[in-house]
Amino acid sequence: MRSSGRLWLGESVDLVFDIRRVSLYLIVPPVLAFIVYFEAYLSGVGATRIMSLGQRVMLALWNSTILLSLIAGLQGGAFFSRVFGSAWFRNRLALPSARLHAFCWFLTSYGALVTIFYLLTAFAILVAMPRPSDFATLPALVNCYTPLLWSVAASALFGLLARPGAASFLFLATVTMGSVTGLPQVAGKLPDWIASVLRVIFPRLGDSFLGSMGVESYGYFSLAVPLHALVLLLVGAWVFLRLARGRR
Amino acid sequence: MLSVDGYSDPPRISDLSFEVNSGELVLLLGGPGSGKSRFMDVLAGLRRGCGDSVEIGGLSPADTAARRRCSYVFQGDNFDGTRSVAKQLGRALLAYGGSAASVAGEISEWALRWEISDIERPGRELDLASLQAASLGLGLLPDTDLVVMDEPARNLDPERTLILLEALRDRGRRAVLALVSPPTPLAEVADRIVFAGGDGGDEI
Repeated sequence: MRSSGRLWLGESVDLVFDIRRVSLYLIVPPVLAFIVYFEAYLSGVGATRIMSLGQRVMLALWNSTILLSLIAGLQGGAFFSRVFGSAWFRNRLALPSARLHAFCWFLTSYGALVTIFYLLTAFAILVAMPRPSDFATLPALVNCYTPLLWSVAASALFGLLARPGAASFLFLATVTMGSVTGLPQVAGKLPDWIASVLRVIFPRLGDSFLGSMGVESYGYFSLAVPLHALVLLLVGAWVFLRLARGRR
Repeated sequence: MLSVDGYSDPPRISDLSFEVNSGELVLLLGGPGSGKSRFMDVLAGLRRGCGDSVEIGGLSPADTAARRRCSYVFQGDNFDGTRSVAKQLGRALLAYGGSAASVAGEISEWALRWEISDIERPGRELDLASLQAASLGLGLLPDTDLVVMDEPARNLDPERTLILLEALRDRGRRAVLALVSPPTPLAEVADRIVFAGGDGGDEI
């Protein structure tokens, strides 16, 4: 790797893997364990529909995704806003390194942090919970992973556009809209054209969830979320370069 | 090396034109609020100047190739206050193409020469004079053709100011542009002084 590329790799790893940032993710295992046991209890007493073994594993994976996505997005919005908005970061862009490297490496490092915790959590779920022999582990892992990528891309974009608190709020608002607009109960009450527009603007997280749980079988939905993430990523890179070049 | 042709930043600066050639030390003199720091941003490619009036070696300052030939010292915030100054300085030198082995030695020598005993500590734990001395390393340590510094003597104690003057005298073939407020001790080593507020960039 060129020395100019290593600059931003080093800077991003230093800040992203800061112990104060990483420690927040340690709440995921206990909260997840509580949710899984609580869902099993509700299912046992008949409060929720009876789920197959595969669906229970899938639901646990989704729970870990939702938890990690919320932490990654809420913390990420504030983090990216603080870093990209800081004077030292701006002055560091004067160093001889392609400016896009700064954006890409911070995103990559943050994505790596989230991915590590996702893999650890998913591994724990797959080891701890019984699953049917025909359970498609890899597609399930990939499908539940895509919202995390979306969260990282969205939080970076919102971090560029807004102050720390507002960036986190924007993330939360978008996730909420993306989750509810995909649900048939909500989409059915809206005029078609509004529902269509909302489905383009917001990620189809609700659809992706229902599809993977076997409630609705929309195979292509697993592609909709990463494509949405890719668009946010490209917009983020464009905004970053515009901001790095400054005003007149 | 550096060419400024009709740079304007109304109402602070109008039609500023000057050149800094190899081996020259030029001071751009202006009081507080005269637009020097905004001009510094233009020189670093962090702000667009009116009509692409600034060129470094014939290139736009935003061009990575131009920034490879030029090192910068900003008036403040050269380092993240939460992390080791030495580590950040080292990364910057590596970005200019230094080797890991030589960079560590250069930083140790710099800290010794400028008496920065706590250069390994986070920036917020350094006193202002030490932090400024470390910041000057960002401009003077890399092997570049042009050094641009905004208020380089600010916060320096008399001993370190003398070290700065000595370093500027020994600049060799390097071109140096220092953006300073009057009165400045750098005037005694400067080849030319350009007035930021003057119409068209008056020179002496």
